[in-house]
Amino acid sequence: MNKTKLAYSSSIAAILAIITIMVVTIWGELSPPFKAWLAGFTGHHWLSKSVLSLIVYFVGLAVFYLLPKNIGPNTVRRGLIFLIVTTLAGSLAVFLFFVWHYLV
Amino acid sequence: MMGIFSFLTYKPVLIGLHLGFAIVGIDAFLWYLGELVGKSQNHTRIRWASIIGVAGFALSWLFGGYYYVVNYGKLVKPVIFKGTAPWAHAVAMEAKEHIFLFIIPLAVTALILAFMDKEEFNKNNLRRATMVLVGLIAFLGLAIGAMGFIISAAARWG
Repeated sequence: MNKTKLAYSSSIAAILAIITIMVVTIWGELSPPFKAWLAGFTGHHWLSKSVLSLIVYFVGLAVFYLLPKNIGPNTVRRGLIFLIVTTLAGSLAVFLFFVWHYLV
Repeated sequence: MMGIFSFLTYKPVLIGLHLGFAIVGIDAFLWYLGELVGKSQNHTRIRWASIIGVAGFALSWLFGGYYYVVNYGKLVKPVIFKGTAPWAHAVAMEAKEHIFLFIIPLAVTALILAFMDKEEFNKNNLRRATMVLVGLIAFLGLAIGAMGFIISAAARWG
């Protein structure tokens, strides 16, 4: 197993999972029918988001690992930096969205 | 068997397990961070820290998720909304339950980095970025814990 490529694939898959959770969460709050549709899968919208996050992450990990990609000396580090920035931005976006949603 | 399930799903036990395993996850990632800061050559220790961290957060997710889905919505949320701090649910709980979902992909990524060969890890110049990632995981865990305290305080004291 190429662990360097696995680390790169995990960074990109985690970025996709975080963006998916963020988009689905905000979209669900703005669209009650979408939130109800999400809840319909497992009986609870949060459970559906949990399952979705795992599917996006682990499928993404497998797909990016199997796709041909030349891993240069800075590829993994750039992936990690992008992941860190996405996490900070995603956390802030979710928090500020709920502050805004509560105030309006 | 039924007795064990009843005990594990008893509300105070669920909360205790959720919090306890989250503390295990946070502490393990702080341990991992310390190994990186100290430029530790002991890769076995780093790997164990990452395994314990991922296991801690995964179990915290499992027990906390069960409590949230089965009990929180019908027992705790209405109490918070009737109190003086409804924002504790509307902002703190909503942010907590969703930001928590970021943790497992981040923690598994940190685990994969811990299992990279030492030479490959150094050749790719990953120490600083991994330190920031691991520190961020511990920080998110602590921030989520602080939100949990706000939610709990709002439910207990209105």
